[in-house]
Amino acid sequence: MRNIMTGNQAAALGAFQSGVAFVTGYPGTPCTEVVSELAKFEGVHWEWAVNEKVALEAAIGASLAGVRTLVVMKTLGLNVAADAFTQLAGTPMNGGLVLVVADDVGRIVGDDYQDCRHYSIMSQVPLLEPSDSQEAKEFMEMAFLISETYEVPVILRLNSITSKSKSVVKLEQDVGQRATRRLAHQKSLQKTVGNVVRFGFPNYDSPMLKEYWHDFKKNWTALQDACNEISINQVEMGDREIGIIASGVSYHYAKEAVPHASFLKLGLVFPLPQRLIRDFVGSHRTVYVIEDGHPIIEREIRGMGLTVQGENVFPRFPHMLYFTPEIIEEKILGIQREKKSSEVPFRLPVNCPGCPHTVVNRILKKNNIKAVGGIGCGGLGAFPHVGAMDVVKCMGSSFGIAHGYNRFRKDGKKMVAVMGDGEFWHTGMNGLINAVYHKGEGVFIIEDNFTVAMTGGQRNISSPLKQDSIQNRISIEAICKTIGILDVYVVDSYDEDRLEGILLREMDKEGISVIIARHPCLIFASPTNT
Amino acid sequence: MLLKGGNFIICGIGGQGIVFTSDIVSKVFLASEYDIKATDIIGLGQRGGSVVTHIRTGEKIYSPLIKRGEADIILAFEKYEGLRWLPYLKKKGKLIVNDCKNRPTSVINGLQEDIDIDERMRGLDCWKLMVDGAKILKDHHMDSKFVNIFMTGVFSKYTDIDGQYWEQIICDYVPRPYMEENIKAFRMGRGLIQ
Repeated sequence: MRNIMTGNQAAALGAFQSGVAFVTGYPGTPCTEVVSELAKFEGVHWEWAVNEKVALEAAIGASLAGVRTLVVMKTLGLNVAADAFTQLAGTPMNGGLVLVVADDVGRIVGDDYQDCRHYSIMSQVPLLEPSDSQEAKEFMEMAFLISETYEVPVILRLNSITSKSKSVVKLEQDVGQRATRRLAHQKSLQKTVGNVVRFGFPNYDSPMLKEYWHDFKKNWTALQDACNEISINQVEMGDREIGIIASGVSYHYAKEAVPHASFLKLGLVFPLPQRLIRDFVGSHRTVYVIEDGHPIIEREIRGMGLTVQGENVFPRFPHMLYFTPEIIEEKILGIQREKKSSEVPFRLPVNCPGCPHTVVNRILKKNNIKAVGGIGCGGLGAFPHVGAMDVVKCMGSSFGIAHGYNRFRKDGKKMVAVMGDGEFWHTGMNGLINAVYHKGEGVFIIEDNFTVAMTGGQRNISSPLKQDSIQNRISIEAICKTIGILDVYVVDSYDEDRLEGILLREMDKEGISVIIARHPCLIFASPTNT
Repeated sequence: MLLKGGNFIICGIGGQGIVFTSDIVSKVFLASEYDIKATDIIGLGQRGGSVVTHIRTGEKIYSPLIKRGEADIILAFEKYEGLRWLPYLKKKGKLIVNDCKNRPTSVINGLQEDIDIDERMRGLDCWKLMVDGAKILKDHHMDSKFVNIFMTGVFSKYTDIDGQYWEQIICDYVPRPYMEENIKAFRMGRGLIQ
């Protein structure tokens, strides 16, 4: 049977069929759907964590307990989880642990130029990259297998095209839930214990200590060898003049543009199959490396002492490149297509009509207030056509930034910080606690619309719960009061006069005030959302 | 000539049901044993943003994205968006436009000058079909929210897939209470083209 599904849906199906028992993560375009799809399957326990770091930590715990576990985040989320991630690398896994990380190559849907493969290489974590939905499903199954065979976490890298594109997937009968594994023989689940214990001792190789030492290198070397034979790395022989090494959806772009070329298609991008690559480069006149994102595979291959064409042909600056068949046919075959622009005015993103955030934006702009915001629908206020905010940085950052700014401001005018309820729980709360502890000052606005709206309305810690929910709901104002803020105001965002009055009054005060501007998101704030 | 597969672009603004339409078209071609790849590209912002879908069908599809100048049909739910993606249309491709105008945000906010969209549309030298979906529906006492399915009906007439297959997929896909009206809107669109 065939069906058409997005890469996200197929990855979710692949995880289910691999017997995943626990899925967690944090919403982030374009891969949010992997979690919301898995939530539909019975027998899978799923959670939206407060942030990506906590999600990964919960996943590590579940893996140690012996079940197959999936963690989902966008590439910026991996920055948040990076501390946990780099510590995890080298630790023996028990239940398979796979991270789905989606890069937004070429900035199609988001706001960054990052490439998660840097994390994979830095931390020696294997990385697989599917090129379409069928592969998203198959590679997920392979990722769990690699994770358990070599006792390593594995990244499945998606991007905005592979996540969101719908393509045909062949369906077999549901495999259903796999039995959980049992903890194996490890004396210790901590990778560093061996290193710490042996530090400075000449007899570090005592058999007694070795019991505590996870031989990561042995597993890694075995994987480095096996990746030359693995089914997801494939050679398709064609013309010996042009060889193309490609991974992910760029393989399809290249195949479309230069069908007669030979291909080395890398499903396992790291570690690289060195023997395969040497043979392939050696048997073709010119070899191009075509990879979405930074020129990473290319540099690794150059590091092997081989000559390949990549960045010299496909320059990335100033934008991180996402390939298209057009770029490839132009650079390799010299075909030029007409590049006329239709000169239609932009549709810059705006908040939905009636969005409560627009009220706050209007007040900030009208009173010429210096303001800092973060990621989410509230952050749209920083776009030039809205012009309500001066600075927008990452999730939950505005309270910290305002604290630093207000301490050193010169003109006496304080910066107002704005963040959404999602951001507050994600990482923003720390900025508030820090400002309270250090006796900072300023007005901190929490725009509470009861949901994580930008990614499609996922619930957060303070969202209304379903009647039969097993979760605990936590109150933003209770937290603010508990950490010692005396001036906490809860105002309906639609009550513009009152909101403006309180803001202007509090800005003239010393110390910290919190305004919770509350109004449900008109589109998504419903307890029936996931 | 009716198309056995091809490259289709469906475009418009968020909230017009483009992804829904793209799903219907995809499922119709899937049921007809074609290979198919479809990509919805939606920017930031939930409502009113530019939305475009690339749909490619045929015996074997590699790239999910359509190259410039390679689209057989552009189905636009809004005029500015139809014009925006026009460079993707083949020389002999068809532009099907819903006669609806929604001024871009950057114009409303004074960042950019407006263009005379109607003048530009009139001046196009490609094959084009302009249909006022909302008006036709209104004349038949139907809600304008069925414009997407109405336009799908218009579009369907240029493919080689029989009307009943389209209706089958629509029935499977839309919620039961809306089925009858969706089929009616689809037939109205399809019936518009002789």
